Amino acid sequence: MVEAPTYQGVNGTIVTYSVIYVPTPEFAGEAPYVLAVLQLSDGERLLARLPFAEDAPLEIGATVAYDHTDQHGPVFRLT
Amino acid sequence: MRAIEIVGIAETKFGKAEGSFRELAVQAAQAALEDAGAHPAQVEALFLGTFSPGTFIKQEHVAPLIASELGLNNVPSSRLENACASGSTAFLSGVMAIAAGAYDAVLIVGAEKMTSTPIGETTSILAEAADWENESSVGLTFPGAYALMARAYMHKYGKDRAFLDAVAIKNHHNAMGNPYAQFHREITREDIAKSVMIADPLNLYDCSPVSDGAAAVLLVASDVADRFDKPGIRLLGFGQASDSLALYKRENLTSLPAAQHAAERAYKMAGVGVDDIDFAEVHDCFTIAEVMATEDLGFFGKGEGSDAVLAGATGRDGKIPVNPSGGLKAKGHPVGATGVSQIVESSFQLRGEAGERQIEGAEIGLTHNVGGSGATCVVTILGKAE
Repeated sequence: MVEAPTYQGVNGTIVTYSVIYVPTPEFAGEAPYVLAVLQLSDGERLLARLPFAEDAPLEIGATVAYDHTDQHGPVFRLT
Repeated sequence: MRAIEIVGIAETKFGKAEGSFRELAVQAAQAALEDAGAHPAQVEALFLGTFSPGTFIKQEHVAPLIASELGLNNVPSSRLENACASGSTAFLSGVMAIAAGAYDAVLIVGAEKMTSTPIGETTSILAEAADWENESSVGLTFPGAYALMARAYMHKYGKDRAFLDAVAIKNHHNAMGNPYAQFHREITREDIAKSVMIADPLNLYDCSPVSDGAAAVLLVASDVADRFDKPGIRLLGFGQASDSLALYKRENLTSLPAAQHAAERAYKMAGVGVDDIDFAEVHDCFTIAEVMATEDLGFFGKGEGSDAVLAGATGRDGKIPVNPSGGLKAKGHPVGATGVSQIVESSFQLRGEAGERQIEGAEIGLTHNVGGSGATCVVTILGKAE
């Protein structure tokens, strides 16, 4: 089995994002959540989740850092 | 290339239909044959565009199913799948077969039965048209993909969402004149402001609905067109292009490069320019998609499609009427049927048979059908009978 890539210590910026309110059944109970296209510091582009918070300063250009990986993949957070 | 014409057209009323997948497909196909004054024995091959009958209705191998239900007997039949561009991909397969000289007359059918599936499952099935490993498994939905583009567009060009509202209001208005449309209801900015958020910034009224429906065309070589009753609508040009399934891998998130490539090929083949197009049926699966389409097709400059819809330039009496049928947004979007329906609607216009939605004096029309978030795009340019 191929090892999932690790993003430990990786930072990036938000290229664009959406808050998903109506997810697929696999994500039922997790919505709303933020999905963002990230430009990572190592040059990679990635689609990843961020936790949703009503008052978070979510915007294009905001900086993010890797937080953890769950069953659906890597999760980043605003920095 | 061998000259090709559309001599028979039909579609079912889109929406939640009583009929099954096969009943809808057969109904549209038989009506298209009848429209042309054609007998099933004159059909030499069937090309069926459909996205996911295996998951929607637990039925694969659908092309011979429909061929046999139509009594086409032993003719070749094939099913084409390119997500929401399945219908136009089936159409182009028929075009290629006639152009190659393999057949003189082929039947193109597009169909989808979506409403018998629970809505959550439908969201999941549609997400299978994205890059599963890198997008859908991470939590992306189809509205989510277009929301990523809408956000990028609004940020890049400094727009609020008023232009998205304008697309939905216009297309609901246009659908009032289309007896085949799913919705016959005007909507207002107030309705939109009160609607539920699906994938921010897109709300319910930014999204095309879940629909059942079918559409069909009888496509023939011009050299045999006089065997049929109706004046043929001429295929002037076409283009198809591909891109990455995954949206995030693209450098530009505010237009669809595949649409630009497909359009460029279609214009070149047809020998016409943007200014020659009298109307367009474009793939407004989400409101933002229509605005990007009007820019990708060259009707407006980058970032200017948003102001154009607000100014009424894409309305029925505007500079370039876009989606006089009501579009996917209000006519409905039975995925596999959509590409064929755009060609049917354009043919109604070019015959002068579009009733209340008729664009006066229409001579050249364009269709733009997109699969996924832009991984497939098919553009056709059609002209009225000479």
